[in-house]
Amino acid sequence: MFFKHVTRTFARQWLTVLMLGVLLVVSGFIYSVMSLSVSALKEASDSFFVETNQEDFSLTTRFHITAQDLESDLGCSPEVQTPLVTLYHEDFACYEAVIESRRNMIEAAYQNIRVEPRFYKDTYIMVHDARHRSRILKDMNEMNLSMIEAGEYPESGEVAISRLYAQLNNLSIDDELMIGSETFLISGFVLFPDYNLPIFEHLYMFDSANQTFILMADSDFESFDATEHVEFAGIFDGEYDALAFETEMFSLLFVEQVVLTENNPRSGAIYAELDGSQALGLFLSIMIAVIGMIIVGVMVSKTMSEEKRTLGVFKALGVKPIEMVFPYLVAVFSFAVVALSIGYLFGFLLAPLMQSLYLRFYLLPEAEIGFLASNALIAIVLPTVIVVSLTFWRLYRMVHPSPILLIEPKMFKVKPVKAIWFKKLLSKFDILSVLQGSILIRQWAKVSVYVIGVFLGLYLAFLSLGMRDVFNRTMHGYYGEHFYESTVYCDFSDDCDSAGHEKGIEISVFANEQRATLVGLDADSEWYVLRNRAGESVVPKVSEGIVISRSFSDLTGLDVGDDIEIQAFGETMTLEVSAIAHVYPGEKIYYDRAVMSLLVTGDDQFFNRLYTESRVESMGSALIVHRTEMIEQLDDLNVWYQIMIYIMVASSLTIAVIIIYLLSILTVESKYYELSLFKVLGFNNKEISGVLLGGYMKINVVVFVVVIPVVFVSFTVLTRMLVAMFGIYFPLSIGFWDILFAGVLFGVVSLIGTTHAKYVVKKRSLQEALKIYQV
Amino acid sequence: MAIQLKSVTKAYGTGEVQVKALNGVDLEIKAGQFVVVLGPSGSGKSTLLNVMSGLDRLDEGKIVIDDYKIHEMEDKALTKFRRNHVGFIFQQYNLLQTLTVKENVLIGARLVDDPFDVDQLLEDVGMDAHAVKYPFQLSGGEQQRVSIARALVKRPKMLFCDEPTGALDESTGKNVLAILQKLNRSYNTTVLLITHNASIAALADVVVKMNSGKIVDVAKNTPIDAKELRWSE
Ligand SMILES: Nc1ncnc2c1ncn2[C@@H]1O[C@H](COP(=O)(O)OP(=O)(O)O)[C@@H](O)[C@H]1O
Ligand SMILES: [Mg+2]
Repeated sequence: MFFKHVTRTFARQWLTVLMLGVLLVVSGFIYSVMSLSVSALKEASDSFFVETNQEDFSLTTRFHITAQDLESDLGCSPEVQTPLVTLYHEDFACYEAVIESRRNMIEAAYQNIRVEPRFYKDTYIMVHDARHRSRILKDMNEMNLSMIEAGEYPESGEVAISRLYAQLNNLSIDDELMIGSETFLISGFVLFPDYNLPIFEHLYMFDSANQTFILMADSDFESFDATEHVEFAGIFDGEYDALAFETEMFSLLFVEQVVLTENNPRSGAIYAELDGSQALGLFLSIMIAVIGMIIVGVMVSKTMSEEKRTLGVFKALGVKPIEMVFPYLVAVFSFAVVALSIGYLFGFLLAPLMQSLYLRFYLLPEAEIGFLASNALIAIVLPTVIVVSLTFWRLYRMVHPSPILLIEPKMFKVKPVKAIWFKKLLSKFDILSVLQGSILIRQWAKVSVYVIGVFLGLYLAFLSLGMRDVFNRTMHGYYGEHFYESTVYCDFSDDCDSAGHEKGIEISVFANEQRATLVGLDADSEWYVLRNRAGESVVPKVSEGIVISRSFSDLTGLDVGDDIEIQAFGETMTLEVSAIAHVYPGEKIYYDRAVMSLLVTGDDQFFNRLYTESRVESMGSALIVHRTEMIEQLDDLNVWYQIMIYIMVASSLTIAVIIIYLLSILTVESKYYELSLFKVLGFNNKEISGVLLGGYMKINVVVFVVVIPVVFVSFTVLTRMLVAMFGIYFPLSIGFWDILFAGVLFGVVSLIGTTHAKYVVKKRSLQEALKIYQV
Repeated sequence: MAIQLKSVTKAYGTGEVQVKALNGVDLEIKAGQFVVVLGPSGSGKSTLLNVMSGLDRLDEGKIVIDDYKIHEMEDKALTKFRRNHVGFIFQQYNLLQTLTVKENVLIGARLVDDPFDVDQLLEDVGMDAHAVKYPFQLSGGEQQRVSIARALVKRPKMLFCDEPTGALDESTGKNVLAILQKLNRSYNTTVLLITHNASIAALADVVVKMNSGKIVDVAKNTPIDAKELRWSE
């Protein structure tokens, strides 16, 4: 009997209940889709890294013979500064001896480490008339082992490639593949655990559709016609001290760069990104859940106030409080469980899709997504417990007073808050404004809830809008700016001819203990474009000090005029930051090429990059990357990113809309008493709506104005925090159009909310209103 | 204002459960009269007041107040009519808890263009000393006096009171009635007062008795002074 009453009570508020349901479903969905896909990936990756014996660190060594190389007995005596490439072609035995001696020296420089060279060759493959870059890796013996995902390990004449690349280019096992000038048969799909290798050009970018790594039989690798490169991979067999280790390594003259896997922005980025996504998912669902709680609170309060008399009568009849409360709890409990379970189920079903989105960016093994008890607990049980407790608390407080107080029709017994100054301020206005203000003050608790709800809703909307453009800003915008067309990589090649092109140097350095790419530019460069926030070119500033990217500035907190400490060429230089370039391409810093060249070779002619005005198809054995292709590939990637972002934007906007809409309705409906009184006194609908709603419209405006600076500040903080905690650079920001868009949307939603509220005001018949007065 | 009712009918519900709250009511009230409506609970007193004041629609019949044909008027027009001419006093004082005594009266004043002076009125109802207090700080009788001031401030030509003393004790009740009587006499305001307390009829120019939705008796009376009223429940 009482149950029937409860279900009818909720059924009458079907719209509110429905929206609340949507909110709970979305909350459950976001949490489970994020955490299910991520935890499955994480688990699979962990075992992948163990199975393949992933390196703990990797070393890049100089491409030239150094004095230190000559200290050991090589059985040959190359000159200092001889490129290893030259040695490889002219005296292979000597080349091998240099590698072996470097390996021995590294192993001797720190206790309990094992080191193995990682050999690779870069080349092109032709697929359906398209030229794609590829990196052929020679399989290692001890560490960074290959993992065949499908098919067979390649024998002579065969190769294994990336599964995703094959999929995206319609290639399957047993298909033929043109690599360089040779044809191979695809025997299977392969994965490697050393992440600094399969990624070309850009720190965060692995474009699986246009590039792949390749595994060949050792004999094929050796005979393949391309320049061989080498890096050193290593494993710690015991405890290690990162700083001591790096110091020891840099004491070796030929060591150019040391990257610990745990700090590697590439391999680390995977974990960071995964952690970040999980954190983001959690953050969002908590936020949504909090909003849900607020709405449950408002809704339960409102429903219960209307139920007060009924409850009073029941209590007078001798029904125990718990007996009255119980049916409400059961109703709320079942509702929450059902809604959250639906959300969880959606999440479970869509998690594989989410995973494949991740796998487009990261080369990790696919993982089976299974049911996780802990996950379900957090997604379903926790919010349910909170919702039910909240309802219980609210109800119990309500049922507690004597039946007389409950039956008593007067709704407000609470003392008004006396804010004298506020009243004084208001007394200058019309009495209706005074009333409007005093109602808001009196209901400060409800108003606070409203303000928090609207604030969160708006914030969420801005967060989504702020994320919308991140990819464009970090990658696409950067490449879109420049005027050069091709970048020629001359590190390993003697075939570079700088005539007619602009010279550049790109090396990895540590700047303020942060890994960064130091780019050497000529101060009069015309094709390499760097601008500050105001749009002025800052390329000439490289001759005055170090120009840093906006992202590097955000990362380190460095500003123009600050000192920056750079470890490069075996020494530490302290320079001044001369400008900040408004680009976000990761950790890039810029300096004068000629000055850098002097440090390397003693003259100002050194370069390892050439920037060309028009497209250069080939230059000897040098690797060439085209900017327009880069942009095309980025656009391709961008589509996926955008889909993800738009899903987020859409869901948070939906949530924001629901919140604002619900709150305006709920808050107005709770003004039943004033509304009725005004009707009876003879105020017209317009005046009544003005008094009841006008205050909220003003609040809306204030909240909107307040939320904007909060958004700006928190975006800066969040961006820094993501860097500090996860090492991800994710520059959130909003612009004028975002604010306008949010403003218009907010206005429309508020308008719909208030229009509905006005309708409620109008609909409330005098008949009903009168019942309040006649006992 | 003069009021005229002809065969007024008002029913609640439909079919078998239909209740005829008013069943063919005829009544004539002259401007400035103090009318007391008596009758047991459920006899249709409140319904009568509601349809006369335009708070509720009637089913059949005619209600004419001066030149206003209440039975023909739209909601908007009724609202305007109430706003300009009618004051209400209820058993529950129905003050706005968030506003002070004076502010509550100001709300009433806000309804018309030429209201009474609020301070003067508060003095008249003996509430001037409490002007900045909030309703919860007042006794029931004091709250009712504020609600009277709120009803009066807009110079209504008619005052409808539904059990205004229903929740009051004898001395505060008499106090409130005295104010109503004074008002009726000094401003010529038509007062229609509903009560189940028969002793209050002594104040009336006209006493109307109701039962089962019908008027069973209309009697003229020479009113006594509210101070001399002999209160009995
Ligand atoms: N809104 C309503 N819905 C249904 N019946 C009503 C409503 N209001 C009053 N009634 C019925 O109409 C009759 C007259 O009520 P009312 O005028 O309030 O009587 P009184 O004020 O004399 O006590 C009663 O039988 C009551 O139950
Ligand atoms: Mg009544």
